[in-house]
Amino acid sequence: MAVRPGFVLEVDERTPPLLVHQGEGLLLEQFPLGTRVVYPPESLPGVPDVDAAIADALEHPQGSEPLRELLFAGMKLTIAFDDLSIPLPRMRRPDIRGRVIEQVLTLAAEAGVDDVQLIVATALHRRMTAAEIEYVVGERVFRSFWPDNLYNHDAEDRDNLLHVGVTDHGEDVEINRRAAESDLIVYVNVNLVAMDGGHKSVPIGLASYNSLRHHHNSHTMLHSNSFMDHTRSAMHSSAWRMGRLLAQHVKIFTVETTVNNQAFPEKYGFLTKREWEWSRKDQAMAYGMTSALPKLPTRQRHRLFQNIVADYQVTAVNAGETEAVHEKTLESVHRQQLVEVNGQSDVLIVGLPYIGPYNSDAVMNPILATCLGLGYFFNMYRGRPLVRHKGAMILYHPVTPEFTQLHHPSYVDFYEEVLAESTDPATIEAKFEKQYATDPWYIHLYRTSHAYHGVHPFYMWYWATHGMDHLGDVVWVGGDRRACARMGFRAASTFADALEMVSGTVGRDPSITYLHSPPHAIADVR
Amino acid sequence: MSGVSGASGRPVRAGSSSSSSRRPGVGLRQATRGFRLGGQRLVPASAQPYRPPLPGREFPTEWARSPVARAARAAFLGGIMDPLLHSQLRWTVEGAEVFTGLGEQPALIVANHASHLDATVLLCALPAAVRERTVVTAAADYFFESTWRGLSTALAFGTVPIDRSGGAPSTTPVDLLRDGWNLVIFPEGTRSPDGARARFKLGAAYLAINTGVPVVPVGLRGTFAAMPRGRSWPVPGRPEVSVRFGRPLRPGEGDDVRGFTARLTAEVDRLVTEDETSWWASLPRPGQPTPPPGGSRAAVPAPGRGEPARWRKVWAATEPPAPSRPRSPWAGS
Repeated sequence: MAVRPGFVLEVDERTPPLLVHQGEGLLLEQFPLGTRVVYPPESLPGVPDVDAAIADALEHPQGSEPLRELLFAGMKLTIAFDDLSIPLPRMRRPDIRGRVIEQVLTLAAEAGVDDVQLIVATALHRRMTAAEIEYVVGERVFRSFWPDNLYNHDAEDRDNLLHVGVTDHGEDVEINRRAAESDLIVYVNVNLVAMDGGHKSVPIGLASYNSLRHHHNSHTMLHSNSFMDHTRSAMHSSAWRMGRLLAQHVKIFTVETTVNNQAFPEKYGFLTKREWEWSRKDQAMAYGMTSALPKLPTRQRHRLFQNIVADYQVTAVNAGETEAVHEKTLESVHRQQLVEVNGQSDVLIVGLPYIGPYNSDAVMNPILATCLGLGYFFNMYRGRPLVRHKGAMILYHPVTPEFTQLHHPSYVDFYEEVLAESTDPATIEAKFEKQYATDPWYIHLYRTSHAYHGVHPFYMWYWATHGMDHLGDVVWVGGDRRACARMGFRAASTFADALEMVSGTVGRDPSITYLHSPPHAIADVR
Repeated sequence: MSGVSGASGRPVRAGSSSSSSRRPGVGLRQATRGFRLGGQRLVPASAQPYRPPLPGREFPTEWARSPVARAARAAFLGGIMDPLLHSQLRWTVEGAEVFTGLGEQPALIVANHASHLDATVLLCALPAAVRERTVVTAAADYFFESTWRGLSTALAFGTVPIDRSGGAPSTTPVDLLRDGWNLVIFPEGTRSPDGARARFKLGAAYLAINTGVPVVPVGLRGTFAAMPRGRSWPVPGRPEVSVRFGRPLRPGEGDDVRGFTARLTAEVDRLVTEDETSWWASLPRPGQPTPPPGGSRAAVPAPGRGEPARWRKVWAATEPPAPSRPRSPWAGS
């Protein structure tokens, strides 16, 4: 049976209550008649033989010689790969990155390459643990290289950073020295959404704060419309300039992979199906979970969600010159996620899931929830936002003011100190960013523990800049009132209350669109 | 640096207000409305796959016009639905005597449509002899998509399927009129989402012109307020509903489909207005602006503005009909 494309449902009397994610909880919600619901396309079938697809991509790359011809004895080879921020949830083993890396290493061994190092491209993210790295690269690679030749990138190790140059826009390009001085960098990515990949991989994943600050700032984020369309994103344009400069200094061979929309395992099949097509089992699971989850102790509920492993299947593997590869990758991502939507609406509704790129094995704190909602979900569009200028956005999330100290120490202070002062991205950038970025304690925790860099909460806040600027009203259904107020938003108990609250902005009879995600859908708004 | 503390690696909670007792989402009881223990699944209209019209494959309904089925229907409508509706609604019927003048001649009965109550109320308002030879056109894609629903509505209300997707015109309505059946048609094609009368489609006028049968216009008031879209039972409190039959209209010499549709529309609107005011006040007068669609109290655009807001339409449509009789206990009822 052919895979059905994404489509826009119009809620009518026959529409059953629709599933809405709300952090570590699920809801069934009855939306008003006439509400548009954007559903992503069904999952595309994976490539039948993943290993053969990888081999084929390495042998027949885009705009480059085959990898085999780029490898020679005595060379310095660096393999860098995406960290645990994608895919979400993590994919069932073997992870596609490990499978690609194994084949690259097999070719390197055949060519007699001895000097090989593998670097997790963490940028300012937390260091991955050994177990997490092993999960991604596989036991064979891990045992061969860990810990000396397989490690996390360290953006604060001054001795191991190299200032490669300055772009024609005056942007510093400073990346990992080992990578910059290699004869070849092979970058292995998972392109979960259109925002990932391309020149966002090496120039960002292996960069220092000195380099990242040029595109991770409130001004650039404000002019990224949207992050899912690199041709209209100021952040991506900056990364593209850096990538092109970098490509003049070091040979980069990019391997990009895409996965389908099978974001949940079979037993949670109802999360990826359309509600009116739920089987009895799906219905029972959905109704059971929606009513049982609130009664579970927090810790068990957290464990239940964090243990979810996705049944992603690989839909494409492309390798070669970065930009040529990325074009192919985007075609594959769009085939899986793009949905045509006719026009904007007054109100956009999203249900935020339990996980975002930065809370693997951690709680989603209010800042990360804001980044996920106003930064990522709001930006899931191409062309125009799903919601009109100065429209309203209604988000479902508990916004619990909880923080995982191990991973997010600077977030606590950002929440308590910075947001108490101002919620305007440009203001806090000017007043506080440098202090947090250079704080020795945060740097120490970033380098030696598993903490996100001190400046990371600022970046999360900047991600939301475009959303905050575009929207007239933001209301969180089920959100903690004080946490929402701290961030400059409002909380509602129910959806009906939220609609009532935004009526001052959008009137009593607004047009409403619900983005039914995850799995991801990019709205191509005409 | 921070006022928040906690063991490393364990979530810590910053000061927060107590969570609200009201939970978002629907309750389990409402959620289980989605359960369909038997029969086909309900699929939202916009999610249904496109099916090209299949000529000659209509849902069979001839059996529902057999003498036995007619007797069963008469008993159901007269013995069950009529008392049931009277127990749930206060309603008035005016002008049903127009059928006396028509005698045995079949007619098209055309009404505005805002509620599932419309067809039932209209059938119950008809004189029993007329009702017995009246069938109701119903959307093939809604009422006849499942066998169970198609059979039950055909038996209970004498429905016949009509394709509203714009496929090849069905010959069934023409055949029915030629066989002497009255045909109830709601030319709007679907129930109004906000109570305002929508544009009439051309099918009713087309039938009238091609078969030469008269058209009885009907103004229905109060059904939207009593049971709008989304409800399956009338609202409590015995809301008022009125059914007003108009004089039969016949297509004139020069009438085309569009022109006759405009006449039908105007007459249905006038009947609604007549019900709201009086016959005299509802009559069109030269030099006066035409009444707004849906009656004199329907929402009209503000000067210089476009379509009135949805709430205004709903507001106008849910305004209770003026009591036809004094409701004082001393004045009698």
